[in-house]
Amino acid sequence: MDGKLDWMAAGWPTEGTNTQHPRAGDIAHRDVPTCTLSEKLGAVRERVKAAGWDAAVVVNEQRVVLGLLRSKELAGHADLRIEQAMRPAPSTCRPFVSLHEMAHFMVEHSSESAPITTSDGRLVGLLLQKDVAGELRRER
Amino acid sequence: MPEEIRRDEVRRLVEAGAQLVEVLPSPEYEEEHLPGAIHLPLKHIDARATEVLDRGRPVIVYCWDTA
Amino acid sequence: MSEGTIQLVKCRNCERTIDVCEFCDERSCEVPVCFECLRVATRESLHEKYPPESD
Repeated sequence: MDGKLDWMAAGWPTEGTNTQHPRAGDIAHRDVPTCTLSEKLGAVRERVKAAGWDAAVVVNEQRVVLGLLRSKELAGHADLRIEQAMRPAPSTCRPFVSLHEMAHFMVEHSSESAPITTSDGRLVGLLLQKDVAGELRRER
Repeated sequence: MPEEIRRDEVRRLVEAGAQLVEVLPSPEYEEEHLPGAIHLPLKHIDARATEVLDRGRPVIVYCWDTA
Repeated sequence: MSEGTIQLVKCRNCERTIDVCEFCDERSCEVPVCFECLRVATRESLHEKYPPESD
């Protein structure tokens, strides 16, 4: 088989000491708003705002991540197609990455959010820095 | 002759009774392994395989990745 | 610097030359990290712990 990494990268359950610590896939928000390339920014912005979010993930029909819309991208012209407005091909992390590691990177790089995907590139959810910090405080 | 399979097939075969074997060293196995996987580090696989594995069931061997 | 020139940066871990930080996708990142070092740090790769054996 492709190895343990491939199994873990699918977000499937495992056993062992690492499972006692929270990982990115555990607290990533699965209900993050998503949109497609052909939608208009204005409509997506309204939908995202109505849902109480300030970010959205651009996906295709298979839920493969194509881009990100953070505050900066969402502030663009309403008539822009998402394909033009988005931040394309964002870097992503796998569900099994520890929250300690995510906290380290997100703080160091001032990233408020990070898309979590499987090794196929399919969206698991959006991990928020504030949630990572909160979860780690609870762990202590 | 060993056959290469993907994760969906692994899951199906394990549900059907196949044995899972991880060949990584101890720290990697202890930290995380597939549910129900038997630990047979590569260095000891020849010596211990016949003791711990059931000859009558398929065996799926895995490592970290395909490298 | 001429228009269109990409300013390259070095991975702060291995000093490999990269054109953008692989974690935050920013060229101006003050602590840029390359793809391989990021994979090792997030356990997507074990090459650092178990490097391929050389002949």
